[in-house]
Amino acid sequence: MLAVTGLQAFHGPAQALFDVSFDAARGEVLALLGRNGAGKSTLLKSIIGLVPAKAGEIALDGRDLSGLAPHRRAAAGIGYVPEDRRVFKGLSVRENLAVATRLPRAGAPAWDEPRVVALFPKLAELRDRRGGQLSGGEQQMLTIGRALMGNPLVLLLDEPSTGLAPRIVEGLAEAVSAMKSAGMTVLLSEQNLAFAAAVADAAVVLETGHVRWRGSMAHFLKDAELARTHLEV
Amino acid sequence: MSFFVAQLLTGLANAAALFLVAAGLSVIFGVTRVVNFAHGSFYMLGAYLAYSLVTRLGTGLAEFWLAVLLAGLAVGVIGMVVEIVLLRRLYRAPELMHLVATFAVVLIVQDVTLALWGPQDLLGPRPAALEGGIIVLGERVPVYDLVLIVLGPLVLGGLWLLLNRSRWGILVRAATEDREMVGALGIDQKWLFTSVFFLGAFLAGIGGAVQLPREPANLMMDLNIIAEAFVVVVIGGMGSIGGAYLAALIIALLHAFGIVILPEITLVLVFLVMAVVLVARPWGLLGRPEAITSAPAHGVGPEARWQGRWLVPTFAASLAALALLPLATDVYGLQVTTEVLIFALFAVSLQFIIGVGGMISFGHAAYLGLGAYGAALLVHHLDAPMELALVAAPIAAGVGALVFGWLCVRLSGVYLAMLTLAFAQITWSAAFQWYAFTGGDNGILGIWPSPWAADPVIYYYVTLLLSSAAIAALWRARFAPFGYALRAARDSELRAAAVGIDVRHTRWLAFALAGTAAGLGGGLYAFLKGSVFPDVLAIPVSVDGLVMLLLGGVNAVLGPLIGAAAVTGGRIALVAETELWRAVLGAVIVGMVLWFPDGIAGTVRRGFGRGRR
Repeated sequence: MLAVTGLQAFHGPAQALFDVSFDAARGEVLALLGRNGAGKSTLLKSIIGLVPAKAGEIALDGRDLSGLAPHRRAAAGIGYVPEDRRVFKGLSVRENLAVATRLPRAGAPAWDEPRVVALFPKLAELRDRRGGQLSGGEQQMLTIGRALMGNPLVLLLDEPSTGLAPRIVEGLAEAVSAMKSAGMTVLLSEQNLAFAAAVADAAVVLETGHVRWRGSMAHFLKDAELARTHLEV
Repeated sequence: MSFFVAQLLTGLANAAALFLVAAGLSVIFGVTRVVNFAHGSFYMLGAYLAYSLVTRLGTGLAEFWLAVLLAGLAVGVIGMVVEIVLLRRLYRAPELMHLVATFAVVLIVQDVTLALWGPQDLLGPRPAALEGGIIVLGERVPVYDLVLIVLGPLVLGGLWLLLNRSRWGILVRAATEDREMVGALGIDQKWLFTSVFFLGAFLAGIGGAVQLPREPANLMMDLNIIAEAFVVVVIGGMGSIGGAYLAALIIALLHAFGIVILPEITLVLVFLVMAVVLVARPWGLLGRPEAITSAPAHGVGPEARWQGRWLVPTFAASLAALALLPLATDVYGLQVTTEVLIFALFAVSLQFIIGVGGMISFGHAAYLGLGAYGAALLVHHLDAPMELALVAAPIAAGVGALVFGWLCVRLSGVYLAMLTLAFAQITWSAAFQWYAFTGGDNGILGIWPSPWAADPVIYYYVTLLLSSAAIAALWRARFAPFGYALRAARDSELRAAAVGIDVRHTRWLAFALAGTAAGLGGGLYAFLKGSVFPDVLAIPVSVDGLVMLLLGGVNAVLGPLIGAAAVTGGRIALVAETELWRAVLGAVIVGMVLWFPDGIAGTVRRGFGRGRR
């Protein structure tokens, strides 16, 4: 569904991604693991196009996206949930969802406001609340729901569990699993290994901009040495 | 009582057009972050187009409103064209570029309007049905004023509905907060921006059109309204439509009541209201405070590295060449060079604020003008000699800069730019209106140098000496700890504050220093020309200074000198050559902004850099 090949990206003069390649199959939840500064967020940003890639290819369902503006990539089927959430603070929850609304596309689960609310029931009572008045967990639900409203083929989730209470994180994990069973492909960048373990099928480990390991999530979890070398500080 | 009601209603009617213009300006800024200087031009075009339409369609009620609507739509389309051709390519450029580029549009529109409609004022016929007046509390109030009073809230309500109840409005509000995220959610910002420009220009066009039956279409409408609209937007809060309406009411009522009490007091009142609002709520009455970002707010280009090694020899060689110039040129050439020297000082002082200080000033002419008027008034009223007047000029400008700067340094970015422009416009209005003291637009004549300096060659040397001394002093300050503190504050306000720099105080001093230097230039200018007119304080002079900086490179040390020579020389040649010099100048600025954003010096340096690598 999503295939990244030989991606190189820079932060100003410093190279942040070196020849990154991986792919995510349809309906798969792929966890992107790695320490702080490994390049996880940069990788997601260069997939949606907020960080320009210097070289490499990003293919969505066989279609090359590299060189397109972010709005074209979103229209092509990339849903982006940024790490800092970036809900529109002055807009109500409904309006936040409305911004991204796009007609469903063939071959992907169809999302609309009722289905998003069914996934995150909490949003129902907050419909008319402004984005700026929501708690961190509520904002996270809203920003995921907002990305779903664009009916994406692939959802990019950047560290959704950051700064949230464990109970909220559990709820998020359930939501990600529900999306997965609805057929959504998810690329999940995560520091919280427990969260990734609960939802992901496969994992890619990044370290200082290089892919260090690829394989199934089960394999990663079984080999304690892997987590120690790649994730522990 | 009845008098009070009459003035109240006049003020409310005046507020309508002002609100329409300010609302458009505010919406455009909110989404695109462009301060559209050409917004006054859209307003002016609305009035002229409405004139042509009304005189053709007739003065029936339906025809009149049709003409107003068509004028608005036409101006909206013009706004779209400006956005697509010019601004779309500049969104990533610093704010300074937006202001200068849209000012180029102002210049072009002025000449096009002059060419199409001629120089005379054109009073549009009032629709027959809206002729006459109604007696309200014993005062006769024109029916048309009542219509305008209703129009303001109607437009306010319509805009509110559009922004809050339509998908387009939701997108606009989302883009106002975070346009990058809107793009990442699949919205093509390009067309969103273009449509916003259409709406903003449409509102300004309607504003001009409805004003036509009350005020003849004239060629000064554009800059007059834009300065007021800036005041309204700063007071009301950038991006707030409700704030724009509230502030338009306040300003229009101040004018309506001020004008009957004492016209000169109006300016002071506006200034005081602005001062109170900005001290209490720097983000405006209904605006939202913007977070200070740790990143530099406005890219000002690479820092000049060219400090000691080449600067002094180059400067010394230029001085030597300039000192020998009288041997090589005639009196006319010397006078032109004298003017170039004065504007070089002006440009260096402006660079001190913008390039070194990171504060965009759009009203630097105020300090040139305060210096010129300070000197001229002293000579005119007290018969002071040139020497004394040249001492007084920088003091007058310095005091002015201290007063205005005290408020200006509370703001940053475009708010600051708009405020500096508003102050310059207040000074201009004072010089223009206060006939008894300043001679109004007749100016002050007979400001000649003392007998010993009357010879153009001597005066040239006086100017050379004083300008180069002042320029050297500004450079010294730039590369002294004070200058470093200023640059630190420019690059990161928070970090500068964290290492113990009093950012506001440092900026205030810099503002006053630059104003003082510009004032010296103003004094020299008055004695060069032998007269002073309000033009020296007007917006075009401020913009000339910015164009000088852009041409020379905003941060290049010698840039302002190159820019001053090119702009002053170019303008003198252009004015002599063609009637349409404004349009030509505008076109040159547009070309420069689009293709040589780094200026002459920057382009040359880049070229060298490429050659070496």
